[in-house]
Amino acid sequence: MKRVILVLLLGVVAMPILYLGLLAMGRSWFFPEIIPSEVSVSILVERVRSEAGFVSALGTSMSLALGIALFSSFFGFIVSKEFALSTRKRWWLISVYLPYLISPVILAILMSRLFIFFGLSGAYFGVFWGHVLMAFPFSIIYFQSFWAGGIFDQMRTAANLGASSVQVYQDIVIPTAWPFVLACFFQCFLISWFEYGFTYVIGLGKVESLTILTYKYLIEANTNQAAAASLFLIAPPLMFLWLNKFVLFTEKNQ
Amino acid sequence: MVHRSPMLLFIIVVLVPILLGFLYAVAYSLGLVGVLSEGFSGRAWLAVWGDGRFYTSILYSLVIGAVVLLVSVLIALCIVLGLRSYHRFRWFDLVLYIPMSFPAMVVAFVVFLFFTQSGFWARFAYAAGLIEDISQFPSAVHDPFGAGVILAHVFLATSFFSVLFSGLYQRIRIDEKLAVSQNLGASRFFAIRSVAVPALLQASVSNLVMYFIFVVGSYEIPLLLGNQKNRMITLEAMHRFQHYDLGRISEGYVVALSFAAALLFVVFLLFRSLKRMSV
Repeated sequence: MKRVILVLLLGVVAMPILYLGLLAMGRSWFFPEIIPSEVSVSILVERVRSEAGFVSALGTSMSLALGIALFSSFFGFIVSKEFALSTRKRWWLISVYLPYLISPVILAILMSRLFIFFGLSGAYFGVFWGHVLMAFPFSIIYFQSFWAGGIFDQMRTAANLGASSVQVYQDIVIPTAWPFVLACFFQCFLISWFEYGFTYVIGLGKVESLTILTYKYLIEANTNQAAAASLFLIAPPLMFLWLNKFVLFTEKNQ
Repeated sequence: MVHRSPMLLFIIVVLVPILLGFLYAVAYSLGLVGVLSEGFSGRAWLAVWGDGRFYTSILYSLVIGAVVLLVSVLIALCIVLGLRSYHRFRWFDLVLYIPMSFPAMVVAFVVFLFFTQSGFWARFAYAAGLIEDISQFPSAVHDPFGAGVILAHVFLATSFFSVLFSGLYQRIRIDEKLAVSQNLGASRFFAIRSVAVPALLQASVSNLVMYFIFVVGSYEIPLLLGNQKNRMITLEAMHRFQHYDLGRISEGYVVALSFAAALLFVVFLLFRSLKRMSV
């Protein structure tokens, strides 16, 4: 019984990836065939190359996600310390949960006029700011567990023993925080990488990220192109997962 | 104040713009600003709050959220408690994580590919001789019950809750709790039902509420898989916001504001009850 459930579980997880792969790399797939008659990697390469928008969407998404991840994990770390030390922590946390929890599309609707007013509607920087509105608060919430882990006690002890504030950061805070910062970086990257609603409302279709392009292919009923775009969308998170496993393994071996 | 300056970054980049956006939305919805402004009027608020579709979309979103939560938590509990022996393998945890690598847009697309009348399962059923014509296949896409929307969300949520419960299982030492109750004479099933499940659920209350809010406010999945008649709250807001009749933009603001206000209230209640629990 357990094995049946396990096989079922593996199937549910693996099938979407395989199916998207077949669609992206396959040609001439007509009902009721279960597998396309022609499958090859070169078909996928051709699909990516033939569409001018594809590579540029990939670039837009990548630069947005990397920029958001850098900004949010760096400043989130600094700001989260002030949150952790604040005497009005609860109120600050409520204020930080709101933009993170509210549906991106609802947030975008509420803020759309402001973005028009600043001339940021339909602009790359407008979408960037929009993603920051979600990733930055996330990162502040994320780092709360780091600051709650007794790091302040360690910092005080080191300072009492004569360490300078530079030494405290260099030898205690940064080495301890590093894995947290890295994980937060990946998470913020994914928040931006997966984002659709805000990009759609604020970007007005002029800022074409990979999710926007995927949707465009879908409404054009261009399922093969959409599958190719989808493969690119799931590739970075799968890679992070694999990297994470790699890191965990090496840590365990040490 | 110089010491607190990092806080200013958050205030300037996130808090002030959001507050300004909210204020503008309130002013617009009351007819105080905007191109079509004719002075103070509660028309948009009355139009939305007096419209049955607004309430059905709220109710529909809440029901979808509740069903998704119920189904995915049940499956996740079965995976974590029932397949315990596999959790010692790292690849098993990795498998549980994989669905979370899918953006909502791609999950919706996959459900579309598998469950339309020309999708994978329809082809499979046809090849297996279960159906004679594609129209006999029950489509889960654009159906009035939101089956496709629920399927897509369950795919994502089950992964999230499995990973969450699996981590909690070790942290709150469910193994020991189960052993104690079994030593005291409880059957394995009774121990799981009365000890493990309540302990796991209690430890994840805030995550359950957050995820519920996430499902209720989701957009891409109902956009692709939902039914035009029964719209989730985000689609209802977008529908009014993008209406060709510009006078209805303010109604979009009203729907969005009502949703955001309700959300703020829930988050506030959650924080208050969590504080009480920790005291």
